[in-house]
Amino acid sequence: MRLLVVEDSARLRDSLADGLTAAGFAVDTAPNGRDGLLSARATSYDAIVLDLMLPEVDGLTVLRTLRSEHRSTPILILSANDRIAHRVEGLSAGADDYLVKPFSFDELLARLRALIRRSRGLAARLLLIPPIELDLDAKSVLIGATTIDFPPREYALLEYLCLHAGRVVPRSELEEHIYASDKQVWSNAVDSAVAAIRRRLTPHASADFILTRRGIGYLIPKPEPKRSEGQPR
Amino acid sequence: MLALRSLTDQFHDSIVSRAENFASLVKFGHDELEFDFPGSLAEPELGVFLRITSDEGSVLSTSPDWPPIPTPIDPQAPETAEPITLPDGSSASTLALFRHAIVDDEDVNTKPTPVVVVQLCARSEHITRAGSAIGLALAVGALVACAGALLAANFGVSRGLRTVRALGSDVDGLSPADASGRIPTRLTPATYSSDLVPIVDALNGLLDRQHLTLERERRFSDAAAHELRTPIAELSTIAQVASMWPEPARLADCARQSAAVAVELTHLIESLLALARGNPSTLRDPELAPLMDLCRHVISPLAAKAPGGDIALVGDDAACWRTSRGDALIIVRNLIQNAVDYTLAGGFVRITIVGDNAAPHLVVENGPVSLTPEQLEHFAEPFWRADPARTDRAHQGLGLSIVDAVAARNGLVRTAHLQSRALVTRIGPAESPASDGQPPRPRLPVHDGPPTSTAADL
Repeated sequence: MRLLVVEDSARLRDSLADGLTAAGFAVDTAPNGRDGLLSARATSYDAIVLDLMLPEVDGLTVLRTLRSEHRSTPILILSANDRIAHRVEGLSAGADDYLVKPFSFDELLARLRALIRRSRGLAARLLLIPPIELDLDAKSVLIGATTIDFPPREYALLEYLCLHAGRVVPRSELEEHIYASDKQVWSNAVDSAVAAIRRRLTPHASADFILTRRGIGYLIPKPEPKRSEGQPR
Repeated sequence: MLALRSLTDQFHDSIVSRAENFASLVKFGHDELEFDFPGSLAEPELGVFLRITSDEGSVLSTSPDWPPIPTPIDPQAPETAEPITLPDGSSASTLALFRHAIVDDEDVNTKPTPVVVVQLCARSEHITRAGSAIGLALAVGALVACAGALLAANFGVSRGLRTVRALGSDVDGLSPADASGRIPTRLTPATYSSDLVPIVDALNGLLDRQHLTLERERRFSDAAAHELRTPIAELSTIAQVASMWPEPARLADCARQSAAVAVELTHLIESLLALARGNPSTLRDPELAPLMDLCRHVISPLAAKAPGGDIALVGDDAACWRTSRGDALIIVRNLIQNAVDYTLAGGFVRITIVGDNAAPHLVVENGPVSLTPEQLEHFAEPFWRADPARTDRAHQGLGLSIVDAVAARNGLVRTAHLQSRALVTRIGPAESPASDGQPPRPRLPVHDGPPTSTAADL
C-alpha cells in the first residue's frame, strides 16, 4: 500500500513516514500543498494523509482540487484545527476522515487501514482467498491455523494482488503501490518478490495461486463464490 | 410666633382702648374731679384692675383689690403696656395714661382741666396659655409634618429604588456571555425607566468591553493551544513509532528529536511567561538603561546574520530610558532580532536613537519587508505570523506582543509604519511629542554616507 503524507512540519513528516513504513506502507512525503498536489496527480496512492495548514497551497485547496479532478483516493486530514466547524468543512470538502493533532499513531494506522479497506469495498479486516486468509490490520497471512511469516514488502505485494483478485495487475502498478518513490526499484524486483511469495506458500497453496501473465503482470484468480446446499448448479 | 405676637398686640390694644374709655369717664366740674362709673371696680367684675389718681397722687377711684404695683410718674413716658408679675405670681400687663379730665358741660369756665392718671392692670395669662397652645400646636404640627415627610420620602425613595433593585438583580443574573461564550450579554434599555437608561447604557458598554477582553483572551488561549499541538504531535508520534518498532537507530533518533522538540517547547513557554510578566503589576524599580550599550550588546551576535552582514547604529551614548534594564534589553533584542529575521535579501537594518537623551526614542528601520499594510494591523497580535501555515517553527509570533507588554509596563509606546517597503518601528516614552494622531516619524539622520557606527565596529 502506498501512502502520501503531506505535512509541513519536517519532524512530524519524517516520523510519520518512518512509522508508516515500519507498518508496511510505502510512503512518499511532501512538505507543502503544491508538492502534495503534484505527487497526488502523478501517482495513484492508496491513501493520502493531508495537513490543512500548509505553505504555498493550503490543505483544503489540495483536497478540493483532487476531488474536482475526480480523484477518489481516500484522504485523511491530520490537523491541529480541532473545532467542529473545521472538521465539518474538511469532511464536506471530500475528506474521508479527520484526525486532530496530537493523535495516537495506532489510531492513525487503524483509520488508514479502514479507509483503504473501505475503498476496496471490504468491510471486514479478514480477506479470504482460499487457501489463504489475510488479516489486513495485523498484516499477517494464515493458511488454516498456520501463520506464514512474510517480510513487509512481500506481504504488501501479496495483499495488493489479493485485494485486486480476478484482475491482472501490471508490474508497473505493483511497483507504484509497493515501493515509495525515494526507493531504488530494480527491474526484476517485483518478479523476485512474487517468486519468494510462491516459495513461502508452498506447500500450502498450489503453484498457480499466483498466475503470471507474461509481459503484463500477475493475477490471483477470484475465488468462486460458495454455493449453499440445494442450490441448483 | 406671628400668631402670638398678634394676640399680644390685640391684648395691648384692648388695654389701651379700655384705659381711654375709663379716662373719658373722668369729669371735672365745680372744681372737682368725678369718675362717673356706675358699676363695681372689682377685678372679677371689671375684668381688669383700675385705679384713677390725680396728677397730685390722690386716688380718685380704684379697684378694691388693686395690686401693689408702682404708679407711673412720668407723663412723657411711652403709653405702652408693660409686663409685670402680680403678687399671686400670675403674669399681667399694666398701662398708665395721663389725660386731662373732661369738662362737665354744666360748669363752663376757663380754668384748665386737671390731669388724671388712668392706670390699668390686666391679667395676661390667657395670652401666655394661648401662646403655649399655639407653640404646642405648631410643634405637634411640625412633628407630624416631619414624620409625614419622612414617610413620604421613604415611600418615594423606596418606590424609586425598586427599578434600581430590579436592575441590580438583572445585573447579578448576567453571565459574561452566552453558553458558547461568543455572544455578548446585554441589558435591554427599553425595559427600564428613562432615568435608568444612561446607567443601563453604561453597563452595556462595560459588558461589551468585558466581552471583547474575554474574546481576546479566548483567541489567545486558542492560539496558544494550537501552537502547542504540532510539537506535541511530533513528540507523541516519534515516541510511539519508536516504542512500536524499537530499533536502536530509531530509539537514538527518537531521543535526539524529543530533545529538540523540548527545546522548542521551552522557548514557547518562556515567551508565554515573558508575555504574562509584562503585566504592569510586576514592574520593578526603574533604573537608567543606556540604549546604545544595549543595542551594541544585541547587535554584536546578530550583525553577521543581517543583510549585508551589517547593522547601522546611530545615536548618543548618553541616551537612556528610565526603565528596568532587563525590560529594555527584552525590547531592544526582540525588535532588532525581528528586523534581522524579516528583512528580505539585499536589504538593510538601521537602528537610530533620536530625541532627548532623557527620554529617547529607539527607531528600528528594516527593509525591504514583505509585510503589507493589512498585515501591519495584526502583526503585533500574539501568535500572528504572515504565513498562516506557521511552518516557521523558529518564531512563535510572540516577540512583538512581548515588546508591547513590557513597553506598557515601563510607560513606553511602540508604533510602526511602512515607508517605501521598509518597516519603521519606533518606541519611546509615552509622552511623545507626536500626538497628532499620525504615526510618529522618526527624525532620522540622512544616510548618504556610511553609518557612523556599526556592529562591525564593536
